[in-house]
Amino acid sequence: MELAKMEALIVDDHPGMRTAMRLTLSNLGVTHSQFAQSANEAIRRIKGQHYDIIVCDYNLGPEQDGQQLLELLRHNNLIDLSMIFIMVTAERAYEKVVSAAELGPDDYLIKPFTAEVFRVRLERVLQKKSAMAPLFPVLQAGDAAKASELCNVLAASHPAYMIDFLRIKAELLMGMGQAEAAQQVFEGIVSERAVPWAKLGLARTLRLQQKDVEAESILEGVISESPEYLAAFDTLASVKDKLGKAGEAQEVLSKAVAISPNTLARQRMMGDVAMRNGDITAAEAAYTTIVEKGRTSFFRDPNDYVNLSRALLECGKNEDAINRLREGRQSFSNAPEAVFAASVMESQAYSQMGKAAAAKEALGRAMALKDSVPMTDELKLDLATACYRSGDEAMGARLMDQVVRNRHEDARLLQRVRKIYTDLGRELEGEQLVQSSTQAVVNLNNQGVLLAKQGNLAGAVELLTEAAAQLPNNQQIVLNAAHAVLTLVNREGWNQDLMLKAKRYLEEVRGSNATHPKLVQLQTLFNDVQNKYGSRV
Amino acid sequence: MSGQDEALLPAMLAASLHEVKNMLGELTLSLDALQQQCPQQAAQIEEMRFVTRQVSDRMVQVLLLYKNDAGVLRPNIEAIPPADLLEEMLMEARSLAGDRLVVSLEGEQAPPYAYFDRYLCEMALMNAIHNALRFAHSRIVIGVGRLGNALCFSVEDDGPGYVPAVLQRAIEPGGHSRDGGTGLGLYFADRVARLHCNNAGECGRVQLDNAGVLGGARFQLILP
Repeated sequence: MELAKMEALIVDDHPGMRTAMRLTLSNLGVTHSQFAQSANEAIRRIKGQHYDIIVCDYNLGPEQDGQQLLELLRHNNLIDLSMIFIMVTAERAYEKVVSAAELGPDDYLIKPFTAEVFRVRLERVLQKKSAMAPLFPVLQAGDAAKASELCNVLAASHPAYMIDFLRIKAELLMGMGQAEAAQQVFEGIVSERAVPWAKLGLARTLRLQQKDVEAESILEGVISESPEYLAAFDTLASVKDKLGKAGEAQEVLSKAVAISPNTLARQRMMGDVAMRNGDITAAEAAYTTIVEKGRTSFFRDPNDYVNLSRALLECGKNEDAINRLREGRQSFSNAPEAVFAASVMESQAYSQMGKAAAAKEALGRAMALKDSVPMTDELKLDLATACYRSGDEAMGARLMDQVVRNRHEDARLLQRVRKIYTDLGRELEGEQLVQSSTQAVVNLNNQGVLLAKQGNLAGAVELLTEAAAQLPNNQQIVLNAAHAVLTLVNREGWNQDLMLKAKRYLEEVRGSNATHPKLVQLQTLFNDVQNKYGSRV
Repeated sequence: MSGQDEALLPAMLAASLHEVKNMLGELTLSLDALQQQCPQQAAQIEEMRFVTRQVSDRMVQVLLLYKNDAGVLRPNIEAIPPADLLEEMLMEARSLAGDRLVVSLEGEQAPPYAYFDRYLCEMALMNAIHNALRFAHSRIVIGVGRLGNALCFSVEDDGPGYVPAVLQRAIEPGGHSRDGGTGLGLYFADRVARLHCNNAGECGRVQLDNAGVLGGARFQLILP
């Protein structure tokens, strides 16, 4: 791409530096450049238009630094591989940051640097991007299989960037559910040089194959050799959590939080794990940080206030909870989903305070909005609890039943349901509900499997896709629906609509639980069916 | 001295070094401006910039060595084309050498990529280049190649070479260099080399000799 046609964004809070960088860029031939003074302004601009080059100062004032901006942009898919991101910093300390980060910029320069050095570095990045260029349209089209094959070709023709291509390939393979193939790629890199990101990648592929114990031991090794590599801490924490070592998971997270307290996603995980461990103090601290830091963040969520209020209610700080909920509603300008979430929690707070009338009123507000806003299963449990507390037992039971059907395999969630019933003094009723709602899903599943066994695949597909529409978070149902669809297509012939459905099912489950044991098998079947007919969706 | 003072000293030292470095940054910018205003003094100003750059680099080396001693200096090792680093070194060396010396590149045997910390190696090599610039008669060759399975960066000049005392002694702080300096730059390079270890546990080293093609001093940074 010609420099003169490139659009550049310069992110720096220092006006003098912005102007100097614009001059440097225009001397190199990049004549179109715009400014952003803060991370938030940068995000706003990047959402609004496409940039080819982003030159960002690491130090952007007290709110967010350049590295956090980069991570937010990548995690929210606001920038892709084709775009150039160069970090500029006055501090050598950034080296420590970049070596601890999972996602680095394309390059970084330490001030003071001459225009000549900047030119050489930019050219270097452009060279690499042009070597990668054949990948970009394939990735944009979402054809991961083709992109991963292309990585082999490009690695062979550009040996200088071999490792970069292998890394992209491994990520693509993981995205397609081919954990074993991705594992081989990472193992190849690790056997050359045990760099931390490759070991982390290897651990992630093991996790996808349910080899959590092996993943745990690799990750322990990574953090002992690279005690600042935060991404390894996060992965280790979730591995430990999955292995049932919630206490150790919390310990790992608190170390990572101590190194970098500003990452909201990590604080959310910290809050959730601490809450489950019954460490309400730690949960409250984490959720408070999220709410405080989140005020100025683009990626905040009304649920952050709900989580904080849940922790506050747990330790009897009812007034604080009500204040935070009010703050939350206001900070989201009384958007319906924020008002709904706040009302659910307020109703619980008033119940705890013995203010039955206020509790009922808040519940009324929530019920009026219930069907017009998106609702997490967790919040639905809170709504159900509020119903029970305000005497609407039928509605409470109905909501609980919906949640349990949707998540009947989720042991943690069932645990929470039982605890809620115990706290309500309805232990037996809770147990019965969990049993009967779970049984209903099992029966539905069995019915589908039976139809399939009797050779009525079309019937099985109809029953299970219908069930999947009703219980979108029930991974077992959704995956069985995918299985039935794939089996039908495999036997009866290519069907674009059904294959699209199967693809969506697999993506949905991968999105919420990438390590589901059946995913790999079904993804393989999916790929086989595509190959068999030589068609793709 | 109380324990608190002992902890305070490195922190103060680090902060002061950082401050000095920033001042040097400003000084460099002023010199750039001055050079444009007074082309007739270009040579002297060039020399001043060179010294400023060396002082600045030395500050950074001291800071990094301090971190290394405290056990908190961790290399950021990535797969990088060594030719890229070499070209940048060449550019830098040529701009410092001006018309005085011929600086050339020797990199045909280099692997397409190798594992090393770009910034640390750049620092170590720049130091060697600074030395070569002072001792060379007319030529400097910067190179990269393979030495067995290891990657080998080298800086050679056609000057008088290392004196036997330097070649015989182990590289250590206060060990003195060929110009009677502290030997800090060499010590730094040696530490950087040792931070680069392969899967088999073999670590890097610095080798000094006068066995290069130019007949002068040869500095080698060897990374397994």
